Order: sequence, then C-alpha cells, then structure tokens
Amino acid sequence: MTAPGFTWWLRFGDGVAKRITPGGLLIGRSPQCDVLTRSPTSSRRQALVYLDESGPRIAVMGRGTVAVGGRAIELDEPLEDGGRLEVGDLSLEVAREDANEGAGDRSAVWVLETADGGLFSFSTSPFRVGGAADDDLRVEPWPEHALTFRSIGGRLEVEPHVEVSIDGARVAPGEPQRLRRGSTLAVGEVGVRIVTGGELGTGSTVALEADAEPGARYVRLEFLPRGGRLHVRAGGDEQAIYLTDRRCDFIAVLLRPPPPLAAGDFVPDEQLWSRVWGKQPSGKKTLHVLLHRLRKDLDRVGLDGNELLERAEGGGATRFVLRDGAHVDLD
Amino acid sequence: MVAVAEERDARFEREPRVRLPSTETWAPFGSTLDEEPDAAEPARPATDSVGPLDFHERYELLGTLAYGSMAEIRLCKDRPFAREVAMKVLRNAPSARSARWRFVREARVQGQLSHPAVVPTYDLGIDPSGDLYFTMKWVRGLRLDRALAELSEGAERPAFSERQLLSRFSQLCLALEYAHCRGVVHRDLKPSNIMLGEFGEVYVLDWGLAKVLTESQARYEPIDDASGAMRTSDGSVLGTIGYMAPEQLQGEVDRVTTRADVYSLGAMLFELLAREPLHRGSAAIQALSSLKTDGASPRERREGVPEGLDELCFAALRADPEQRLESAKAIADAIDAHLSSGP
Repeated sequence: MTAPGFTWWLRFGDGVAKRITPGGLLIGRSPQCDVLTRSPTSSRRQALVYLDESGPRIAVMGRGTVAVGGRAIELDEPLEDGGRLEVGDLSLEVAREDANEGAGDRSAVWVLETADGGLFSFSTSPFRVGGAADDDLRVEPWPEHALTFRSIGGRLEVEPHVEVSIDGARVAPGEPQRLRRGSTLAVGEVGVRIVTGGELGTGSTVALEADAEPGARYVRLEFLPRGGRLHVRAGGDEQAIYLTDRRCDFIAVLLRPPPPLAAGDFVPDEQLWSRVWGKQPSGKKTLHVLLHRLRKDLDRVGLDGNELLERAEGGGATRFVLRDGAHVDLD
Repeated sequence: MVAVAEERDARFEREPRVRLPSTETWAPFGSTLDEEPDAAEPARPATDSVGPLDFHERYELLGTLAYGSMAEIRLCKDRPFAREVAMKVLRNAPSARSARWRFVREARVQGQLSHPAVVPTYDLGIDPSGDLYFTMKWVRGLRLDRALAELSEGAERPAFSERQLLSRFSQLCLALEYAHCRGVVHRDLKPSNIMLGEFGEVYVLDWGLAKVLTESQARYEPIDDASGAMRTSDGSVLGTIGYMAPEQLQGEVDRVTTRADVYSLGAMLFELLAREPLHRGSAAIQALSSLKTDGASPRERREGVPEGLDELCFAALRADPEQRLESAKAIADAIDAHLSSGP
C-alpha cells in the first residue's frame, strides 16, 4: 500500500477528519464532492487531494485559488504532515498518523496444509515450495522450486514451474494463477491446501470477503478536469484511485473501445496508440510502461493489477477483465 | 472500533458535570408542545407546533471519539433530548454496497437486540454530506482489554479483581445467550469490544460483523434482517485473529454458528484466568496456533486456576464446533457455580 506505516488525513477545524486515499478527496462546490466549499470563488471541482506512492498530493482542477502554506499553487504538488491547505473558505490541515497504531500488524499471512496434516504459515513473498533443500517449504516428492507463491495486495497467486493441478484443473508451467482460501494444489499425487490467509492483522478486526471469480463486477470512470477517478469493485468493497491524464485515457479506451469492440474485449495496441497517444507512433515499450504503472496503481489500493489488466496471449492487445454482467459506467 | 471515552488517570470517565439545558431553540420531532413551561426550565420556543428538525438542527458535533478505517465515532449533542450521544458515521466507502449494507445491518441488529448489555440505537440516516450514520447511547467505562492488562501487569489496585471480572463475564455470557436465542452471532467478540461500566454495566460493542441465522435457527423472536440478498460467501474470513474460532479463520461460513462466539468467550476467559492471551505472537504464529489448538488449559500457563474453570475453558475452546461447549449460558452457569461455591 501507499506510504507504508502511515495513514494520511485532512483535518477540519471542527475536529472531523477525512482519510486521504489513492482515490482522493475531491474539494469543490459540487454536491458530488467529498469536501464541500460554499465559496463562490471556488470551482465546482476545485482540487483533488490524493495519495500516491510517495505520500499525499494535491492536484488543482479548477480556476479558484488553492494555497498550500500560504502559497498559491497551480498544478500538482506534494503535501507534508502539518501542512495547511486553503481552498475557498476552507482551511484544512494535513496530518499523518501511524497506520499501525491500534491496528496491529496488517501484513498478509497464508497458511498451507500438507497431505500429512502439517500446517505451515508464511508471510514472506515470494515463497517457494518444492523438493529442494533451499525451498522455503520442502515437499519431498516434488521437483525443486515447483511452486512460487506471491502475495499481492492481500491476495495469493502461484506461479507453477511444473505442471500443477489447481482444484482439479491442470495448469501449465509459467502461468500465474490466482488462488482462493480452500484451494488445493497437487503436483503429481501429492497436494497442499490453502487453509486460510489474507491481511490478518493482530488485535484488529478483519473482514476478508471471498473472491470466487476473477475480474471486476463494477467499474466507473469519473472524468475530472484533469485525469479521472477509477472506481472498481472486484472481490471486496469498492476501491477508487486517481489516474493522471494518460492513464485515465488508457482505461477509458479499454472501457469504451471503438465498435464493434465492447468493454471487456481485447483492444489491439494500434487502437490504444492512436487514441491515447494520438497519431504519433509510439513504441511497444511506452505502452508497456504505462500498463505496468496502471497495474501498480491498482495493486496499491488492494486490487490485482495483473488480473484486471490482461494482455492477450502473445501480446498485441489489452483488456480490462470484467465479470459476466459487470456494470461499467463512464461519466 | 468502539464508542469509547476513557479517562486514563481516573480510569472511568465520570458522569459529565451537570449542565443546564441549552437555552437555544429546541423541539422534539413533530410534536406539539402543549404543557405549560416549568418555571425552573429555560424558555421554550415561541411556537407551540414544530416540524421535523434537519440534521444540523438536531445534532451538534462536540468532538470525535474514535477513528477507524471505514467509520468514525463522533460525540454529538442530541438537541431535542438535551443528551450526548455517540454517532457512528460510515466514511471512505460512500458507494461500496457491501460496506453500506453491513453498516445498516449493524444498526438494525443492534437496534433490535433489546438487552441491557446491547447499546441502544436511536436514529439511522444519511447526513448532509451523504454519509450514513446511526446514533446510539454514549457508553462510558473501562474496556475489558484494559481491565485484563491491569490484572496481568499486577496493578496494585486494579479496577476489577479476578472475582469481579468473572462476575461481569457471566453477565456478558448471558447477553450473548440472549443474542443467540434471537439468532444473532456476534462473530467479533474480543476484550476491546467489551465495556465495563462503573455501576455494574457490561456492554457488548461493535455488531458490525454479526451474522443473522435463519428464522428456524432462532429460538426466540428472530431478528428481522431484511437483507437476504447479501450473505457472506464461503471463504470469507471475518473476525479478529486470536479470538476467532478455527472455522471462522478457515472461512467455513456455513459452520460459523453460535458456537463460534462460545469459542471467542472461551478465549477471553482463558486470558482472564491465565493472565495472558490464548494465542500470542505475530499474525502468522497466531493463525497457526488457532488452527492447531484443540482445547486449551489456562492452568498450564498459570498456577492456581480453579480446576472447574480450567475444564470450562478447555471445553469452550475445542476446535470442532460439534465437540465444543454448546452455549454461552453453559459458561455463565459454570462461572456462577464457581463464584457461589468460593469465598
């Protein structure tokens, strides 16, 4: 998650605070904003305070004045703990809190059960299971380094290096697979089971919903004067993240591709290049870098970027993975 | 997260000093004020017929009591009643359907459980910012986790002796028995969700993860859940590690019954008797310990634990719910028997 160890808040003078998330807090006169200002000099959508990898930032969206520490700003700037933000008639303080305070250890923990009933837990990622002495968990009859488990955003993925059966379905080596609590993986005749796992904090309540099917159930792209906010619900609760202009455009093309394609279909790279970068030819690398960053953005809010943004086998096209009947909304 | 106000030095928050009713305009909802004003009371509004108040007319924000990742608890003045109430507000999930559903259900379940140990709810609504909220009685006291910490740290004058805590624990078990009879499983019982008042009160807090059983599973006036469209799917893990039953930890949703709460009660009783938590260490170690433990004896951790209570703990902490002690009342009965036999 962003800025590990800390949570960030916008504090109001009346003792109320709102948490700053990667989806951001939109400030302005519009009733749809997260923080309302009644100042007539402010725009309907004046500014967005959001979180990225390095900490909180403010992006100016409208024409009214936005000041940080008494200094007017124009585009996008980082915010610091204790910083004073002025938007219209609002004066807000940026505050940092220790995320672990009262919340316990929020790292992901997984428990595996071997065929003989042995239970093993791991919280490091990657975690290798196989027959070699240097595997993190040794399962005697298995080939060395047979399976590599990775914990991503509170979810578990396995990369098999040999053929494996997952809940009865054969999976070829090199194909990463998302796992569920209760999944059984067998190499040859010998299997292991994922007993439980996820972000199991000590001392604090957890509510880890099961996620049966890959893909998003609900996606909404909210266009802002600069960039947009992507709202996604996959397995658990809805998550939102602020996307800068080009990332926003990229997602918009995937969610509303040119006909006859529909949301959820693979969109050829040529279409993406022309619509996101204009007529100027753009190399594959540029697209891959953008895709990599978008996946990281999704991972940061606990979604699975690799699962949601899928490249076609052999490359050449990308899609936003949606479940059957998923609701897609661009506004 | 709980609606808690604690005064660290005095441990218990004292009743707030007596305040005169506000002299500002106030009125109960949709009522007609037809009684003669008492001479000792401040002036009432000039009009004798008033309509409903809007949010800001009714509630005055006094401060924030607690923050959580999804919700916060605010202290508010409920003007028509001239009382202070705790207001729980769902934040940062304005359109997450499951979060909103859980929040509303928490208010409904808590509101329908009419028992001295369940904090009464007053109002459920949407504030002008669009955030869901409900208000409830503002309860004050000492959380059980703090009371247990005092005992385990050997405080010179703990707020509660072991015997007093056992007596309160018995009350707690009966409160859970009542919820279970009405078909409600709390699913997140832990010391920080139990509040002990200075005058004998025991409160079970935070019903946000409660599971409502089917009507046929309830033994007495089933809760009106009105939320059959959403249910927890198999594989979901809900609760607090260290206190949740093995079937909860494994996400075996259909196996989570009232006996999961019995396990959590057993884990808290263990902590009370052993002076240390049942499962210790990192989340990984606690997860393993929870899955490997089948019954646990506090006597193995601390000398002098009465045999009857030791056996009670063991029975409440069996891994298989079928082999586990059958009810919260059975724990209460055993504790009462112990207390009545002892000095």
